[in-house]
Amino acid sequence: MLKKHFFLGLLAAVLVVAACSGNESDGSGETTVVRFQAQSSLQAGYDAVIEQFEEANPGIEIESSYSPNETYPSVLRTQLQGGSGPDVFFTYPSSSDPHGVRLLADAGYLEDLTGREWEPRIMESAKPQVTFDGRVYGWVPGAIVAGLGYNTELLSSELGLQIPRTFDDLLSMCETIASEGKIPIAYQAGALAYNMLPINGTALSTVFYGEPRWQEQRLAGEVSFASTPGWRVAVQRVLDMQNAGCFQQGAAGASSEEAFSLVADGEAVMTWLPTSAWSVIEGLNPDIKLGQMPVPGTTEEDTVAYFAPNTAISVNADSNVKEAALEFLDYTASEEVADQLAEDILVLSAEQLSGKGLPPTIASGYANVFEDPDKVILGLQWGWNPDLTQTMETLIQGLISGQKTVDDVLTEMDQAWDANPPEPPPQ
Amino acid sequence: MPFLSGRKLRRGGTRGNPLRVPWIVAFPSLAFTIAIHFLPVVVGLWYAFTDWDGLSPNANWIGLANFRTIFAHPATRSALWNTLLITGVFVVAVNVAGLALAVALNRSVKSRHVLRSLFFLPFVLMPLASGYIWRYIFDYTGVLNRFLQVVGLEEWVRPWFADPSTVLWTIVVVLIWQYSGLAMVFYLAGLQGVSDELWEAAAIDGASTWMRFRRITVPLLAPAFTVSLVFTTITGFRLFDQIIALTGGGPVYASETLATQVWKQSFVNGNFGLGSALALMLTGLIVVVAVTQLVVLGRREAAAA
Repeated sequence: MLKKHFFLGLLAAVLVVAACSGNESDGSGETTVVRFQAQSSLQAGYDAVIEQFEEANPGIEIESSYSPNETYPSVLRTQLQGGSGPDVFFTYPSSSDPHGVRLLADAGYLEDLTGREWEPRIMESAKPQVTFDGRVYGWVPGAIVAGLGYNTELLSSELGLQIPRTFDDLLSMCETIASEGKIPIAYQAGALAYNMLPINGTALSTVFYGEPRWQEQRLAGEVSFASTPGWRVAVQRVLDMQNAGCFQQGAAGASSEEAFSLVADGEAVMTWLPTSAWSVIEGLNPDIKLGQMPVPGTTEEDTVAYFAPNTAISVNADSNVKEAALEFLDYTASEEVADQLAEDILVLSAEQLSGKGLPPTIASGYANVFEDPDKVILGLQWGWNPDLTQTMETLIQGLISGQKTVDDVLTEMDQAWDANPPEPPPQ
Repeated sequence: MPFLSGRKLRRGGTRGNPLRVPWIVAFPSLAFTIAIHFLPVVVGLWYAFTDWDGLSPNANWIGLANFRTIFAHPATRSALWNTLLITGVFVVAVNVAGLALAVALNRSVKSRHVLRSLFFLPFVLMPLASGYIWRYIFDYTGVLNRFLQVVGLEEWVRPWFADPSTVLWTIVVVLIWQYSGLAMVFYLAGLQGVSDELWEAAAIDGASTWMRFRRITVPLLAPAFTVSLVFTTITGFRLFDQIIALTGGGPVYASETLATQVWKQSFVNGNFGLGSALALMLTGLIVVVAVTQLVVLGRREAAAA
């Protein structure tokens, strides 16, 4: 009797496993399942596109999964290294992250996408970042703009404040906001990746606006972090914001969820935010009206915008359903769908980055910055490696927690650079 | 079932000794276990001596350089020290708490069955999930600080995870909450073997409660101590989920452990060789400490018997 039950159980298990694996039959033919993976902040935009794609392609089912932005790179890399990577997935158009296109292409994980219909439409500034050995490995949906995301109604209507146009204005505004019992900037320094936003916000203005070739000079050994006055000012400004009461207590250990909740609940006015993550705050409070502003420079003249083509979509070279995967990628990159997606996930086209058709929520925070191409600058970690990026993130967190001084940050960045220098920027 | 009869087994290669391992029967599963569990570990050892980035097809032999990096780099050095510190404090605290709970809930309390389940419940929860719950409690704007403000203890309010001087102890509190119930179960099982007659006899002889606990209960709990101490020590060395959920290893390496560094170096920073070296060091630590514990506690068990 026991034996009979055992074999019946075994048979059931085999049937369940058989039913769950491989292609699924719906009676009218085979359904190909394509596994798609992206960051959580992109979910709203892509869920809608997936639904449209499945309606138009009944034989293909997109099985999507999303991971929090902070953990996504390591989750994807772990899956790829373990041989269980998704078929279509988001990558990073640079080498500075564990899921950087050039790193993954070099290791043979990505399908060569050279010559696809959409290739000529990849924005110029992103092309080198998704190209490796002359071959293209990813479609770039657009660029994000990162800086200080703010609650427009709280800032303007309730507190009666204006967008600060100089760094000193920002510090005074922090004091005014704090005196009203609100948190000026909810800083998520506990989520390491977000520490690149404040330092980009200050260093792009104090270092890279004046010297766009700083990175090449550092590679040639002509300059260093410690010897560049602009770097010292940039790191000091992050500390100045802390000292002026811009950040909440416990910022060094705060998660992005904590910071975003503070903004969504109206307790904080601003937070460090890329446009692609607006949806996370809007998801917590659908009534909130967000805006975006840069960290102002010393004057309005040297205030710059930090942009980054920080997402690409690639196809797994080892995918068993490559044809269907490519079909899905081509669909998302088709002109009409790409425009809709760009609007949904709030990424900007090259044209918008040059100031034409900039969404009003961004245009109002940046005054005339986008009209001068020299003031729209690629994030400083582009061209770095994961080690160097994480060192900077950790050091800025240490600056906020009081474990590191400005000198420590500059000296340790030089040490990290010398120990593991990045590759020269792609041409 | 003649195949499994003792006579057949003796003929089948055990040469008259029924306790001898029948290697022919054991071989397939043994080979399978070695191939699945041990071979990858041995292959992984090689990476500890290379500069492999985890992605590229080539790895270069660099000797002991990765081990030198472990002691030179602040992140890995801090991880090594934190692992030893957390494990030491965790093992002592969780076993003291577990033993106290077991003794308290062994007999006298009326609702002991419900209480035992309640204290064991945290161990059943997924460490990552419970870590995120505790994060909401210890966040600066979290439940704990709000409670302290309400009861007038504002001076105790602090950024628990952002302050390097409190972050480790905050993590230890979560660990004690999660694992005390497990230690309690180990000791409760041991206490079942302590007969009432011994306690009663000692009481008649005039021994105090403390003397009875010290001279009767503790020696008879020796096997439970062995299991609990070895298990909690291994758990302490392998801490990962809770750290990732609570602090991510920060601020600035203040709560990194060897396990979090193994993952970060291997999969985030692209230093798979260094990650493997850390994993090898962690394995070595666990083996040395666990075997030492087993030998020392085994002797104690023999002495107690």
